[in-house]
Amino acid sequence: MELVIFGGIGFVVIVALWAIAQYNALVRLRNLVQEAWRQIDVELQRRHDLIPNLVETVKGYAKHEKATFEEVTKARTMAAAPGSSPAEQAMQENFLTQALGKLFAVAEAYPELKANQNFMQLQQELTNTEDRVAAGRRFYNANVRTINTKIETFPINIVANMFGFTRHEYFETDDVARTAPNVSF
Amino acid sequence: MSPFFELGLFVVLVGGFVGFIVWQYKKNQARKAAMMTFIASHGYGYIPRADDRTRYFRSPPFGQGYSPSAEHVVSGTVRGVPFETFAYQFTTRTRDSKGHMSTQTHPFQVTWIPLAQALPTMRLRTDNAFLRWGKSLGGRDLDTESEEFNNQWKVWCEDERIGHAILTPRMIEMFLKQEVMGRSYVFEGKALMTYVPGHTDLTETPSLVSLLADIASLIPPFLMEEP
Repeated sequence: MELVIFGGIGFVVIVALWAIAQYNALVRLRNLVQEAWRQIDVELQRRHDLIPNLVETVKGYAKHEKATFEEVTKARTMAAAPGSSPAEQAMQENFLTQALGKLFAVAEAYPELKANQNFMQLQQELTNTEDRVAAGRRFYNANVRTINTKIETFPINIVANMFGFTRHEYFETDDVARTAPNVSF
Repeated sequence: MSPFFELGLFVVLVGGFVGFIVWQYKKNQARKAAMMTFIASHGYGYIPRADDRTRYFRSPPFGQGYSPSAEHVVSGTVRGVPFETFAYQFTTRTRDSKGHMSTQTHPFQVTWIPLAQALPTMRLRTDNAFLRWGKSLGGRDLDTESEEFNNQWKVWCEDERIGHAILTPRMIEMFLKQEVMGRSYVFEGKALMTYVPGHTDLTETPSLVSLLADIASLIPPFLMEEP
């Protein structure tokens, strides 16, 4: 009889220890996902900050392209608005990427603009920032994949459901390299 | 058994052993002569032995066993990229169930090129059953968006954020090419290093250095900027 009682207590203790370990692992992953998202936010902010300068530089050479400037400015304002979920943010960033593609297409028609040092530097900074965003996106999505897999995998899903861990959204943007025109100087 | 037969057998065995030693010596001499011809024809530098190279890297195969040595250090440039390759080896001792000690030598051919900026250590090894077993016991591995890459390579990175930054889609594509397989790669400090077990001849060095240069060129530029 005693053996059964001690066996039962031992089993409960082992299960409790396992649940605590899984809970802690899920908390650690959730914090990692949040930190990775904040890092993406910093890089996106850096991207958004570059755009007004870029628009001003292009304006100096192509004053008549008002519709394009307005589209870029509008897309930038929407993308920079706080409080978006990763999916919403991704959609807005894709709009912004498309608008920027049109801005660079405009620049193609102005050889003096293409040779402008400031424009070239801004374009380089934008490319670097987009590389950083892409790197941040891969890190964020890798962590989301890990936590989502854990949340959906038996028996960890029991612990996840008990403590209200939910699936996280992926951040899926179009790679700039695929959408932006190849601007050669 | 007649004493003449035993004597004959002994002579044959000794003769065979001496013949084997001579054959090995001549083979080594021929290999060395071929190596020196190759080095001279490409204008590379050569140092017969430089054990300070055993302390160049911290990642495996370095830092294991005892009596590490670095021999036949060849250096030069390929497509303007400086490189160094050398024969590295260390020894280990094992004891069998009867208590007998045996010594094993573990030889590797190491090749490396410098990078513009230091990176956190990242190791890429071709997947195998042992590594899969390690992972199943909780070993940490960096997984990418490419299932094919994840199946082919086991990646460990000191800083996973940087690891994901290095492993761009183009870099992943590069590591799925046939010519990249069959070796291990290490990004460590300001170096990109590759190694294979055994001592290889040097004829593949120019293409190998070109391959390392191609890999290095795919590192995103923002990681190679001044900090």
